Amino acid sequence: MPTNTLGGRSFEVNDEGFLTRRDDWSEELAVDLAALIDLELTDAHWAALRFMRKDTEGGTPTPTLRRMQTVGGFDIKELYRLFPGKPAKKMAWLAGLPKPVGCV
Amino acid sequence: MATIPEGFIIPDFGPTTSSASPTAQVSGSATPAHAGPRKMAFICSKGNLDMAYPALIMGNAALGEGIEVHIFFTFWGLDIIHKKTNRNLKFTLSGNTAMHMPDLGRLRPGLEHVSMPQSLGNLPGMTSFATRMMKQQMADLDIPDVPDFLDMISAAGAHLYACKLTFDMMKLIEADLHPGVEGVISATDFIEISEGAQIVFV
Amino acid sequence: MGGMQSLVILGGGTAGTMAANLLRRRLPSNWTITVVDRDDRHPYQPGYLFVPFWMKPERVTRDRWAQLHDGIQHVEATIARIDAPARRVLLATGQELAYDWLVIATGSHPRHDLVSGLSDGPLWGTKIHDFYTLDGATRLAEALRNFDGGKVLVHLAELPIKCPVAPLEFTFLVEDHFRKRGIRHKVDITFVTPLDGAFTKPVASSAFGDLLEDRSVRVASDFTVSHVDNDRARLVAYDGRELPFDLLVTVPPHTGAQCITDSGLGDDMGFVPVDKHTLRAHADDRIFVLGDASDIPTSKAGSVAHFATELFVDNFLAAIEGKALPNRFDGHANCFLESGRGEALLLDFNYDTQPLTGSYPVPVVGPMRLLRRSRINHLGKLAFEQIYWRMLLPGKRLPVPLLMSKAGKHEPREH
Repeated sequence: MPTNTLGGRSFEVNDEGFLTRRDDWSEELAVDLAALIDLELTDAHWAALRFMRKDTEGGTPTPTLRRMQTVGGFDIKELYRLFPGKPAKKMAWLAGLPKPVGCV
Repeated sequence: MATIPEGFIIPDFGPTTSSASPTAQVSGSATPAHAGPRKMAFICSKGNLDMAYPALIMGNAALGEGIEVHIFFTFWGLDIIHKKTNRNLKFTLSGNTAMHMPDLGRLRPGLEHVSMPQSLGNLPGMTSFATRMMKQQMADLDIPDVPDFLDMISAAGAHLYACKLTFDMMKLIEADLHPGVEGVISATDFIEISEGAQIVFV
Repeated sequence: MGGMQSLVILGGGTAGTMAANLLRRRLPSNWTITVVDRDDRHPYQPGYLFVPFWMKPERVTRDRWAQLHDGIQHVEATIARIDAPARRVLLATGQELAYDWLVIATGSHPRHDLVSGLSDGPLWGTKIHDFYTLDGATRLAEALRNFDGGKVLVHLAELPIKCPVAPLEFTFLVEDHFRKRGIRHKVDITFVTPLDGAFTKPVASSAFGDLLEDRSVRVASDFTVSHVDNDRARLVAYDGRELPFDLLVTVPPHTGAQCITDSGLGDDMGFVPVDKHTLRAHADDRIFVLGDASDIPTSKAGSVAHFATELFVDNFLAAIEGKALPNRFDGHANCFLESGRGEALLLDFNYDTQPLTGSYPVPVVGPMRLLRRSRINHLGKLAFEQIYWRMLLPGKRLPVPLLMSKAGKHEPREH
């Protein structure tokens, strides 16, 4: 497994760059990661990321956008605005979770 | 702007981010036909429940990858974006020889690969039974029903169009179309819009 | 109390006629009752709704004065002003009518002139129509027959209006009209309302909202009209929204009668402020206000006029004796709402209770169902025309409660 180093922190990632151990993650790391893709994390971003962290505590798969909407109460359009381009992928990466695999 | 450290592996977030994927430069062997960002166009011509999902699922996946998505609904595919019908799309066994029942394998192993007799599909009530079953299986996989799916992909920026010719032929009313539909356009319009797109016909 | 006493009733419409007929039976012979109205045609206003579709205009009106019982006088004249301190009514003819007690039943009036570009442009009568006047409804019948495709707006300018559900009913009926002609797919119908939904009361609003969607009708809500652009045939809202149309069926703002404003008795809309339970004018104890002319916060509808007028009679008899008024009106209104396709809904509500589902007039048994479409409700609506002329106006008691009852009704479940 490759290792990424950022701001003095090293963490194991998969071939695509997603964290493999969820415990390597911290909020400070998320801020640094976000900077790499030109995102400044606002409260709205954090609400989504924290929901994702909490939702996956039991080892369940990364929530899909649909789950973000139905369970988390987030507006999909809003998520697209917050994480432009590929929201599901960006959010999973920032939250230190595996890439979402669900179809929807 | 932060720069990506040497050797740092970062997922491909597409052209919308500053981090140009290093792999994009490597795979320069074939010249792409279209120079702009990647685009996909789907043509939905069928109104069966099982024929509604492929374009919606693929379109959604494409949106997730940051690809521009256009979907053109024509002929029976118009039922997918018609508010009076899209909640009640049906799945039928008739004419579908690829209909297998996994559970039959428990009765006698091997039966799960045998196609269901065609005559079964014509029994009264069989279509609604099959439809119910398929909807249940979809729900089990957390796949939304068709109207919700349309809400979702149009919120995600998919462009939906109804085909003018068939719309007129079927005497449809614009107010009945899903609100995400951008317009009733002619085939020519669609050909123009889909310039440079990869086209998927369903 | 031995001498002659006079009661003057201004307006010979539903409320005025009913009040005159009911009181004639109850007041002793030393009382004169005089009804004043500007013309001699009494319209059955619910009929206006059907005139654009199938009802013959002749069927809607009858002789106004023939609806009054014997022993009631009438004066056919335009009212100029009410001089409340001197207890007299000045007529446009220069005549004066002195009164001891006054009932104002001058109604509410559609005012096409209050929306700029509505009736003062070239499109009025061609692309712009209304059905709140008999002439308008008759012209609209012709226009609908000749309409073969395009955008139709059914527009409600602002409240209050007479029979607030009529614009919805018209929408359903016009939808039927085009379906029956086989050209529905060429007609784009939009219901335009200044409210945030099709109706103001929650349970009903959601019921009607679904119905509009079911009939493929678009809704433009929160649309506060600014003016009509006659050159481009567009209805323009203050927020900048513009709706193009090929046929605009509008319900203009309503005000009270001109004579009320001229007399200084009305509010800014020309409606007379009253005690909402007794219908006695705040301005003057000797004045009661019946029907649409008052400012009570309920629908301006015939059913309100009917319920309120029956309760008013005992109050009036007590008032002239100087006694406390026995009856309190609760704002009870009910209306049949034509939903097209040969069906109607029935609504029953008052000041405090929103329309609920249930049965009417007998709890549980019905036979009519509240807030649900049914054939029998539709037949009830049609039968009401005969009831109106034969029972309501003459002052015969109808077998329905005057105050609203909650029996047989279902409150919405708390979540």
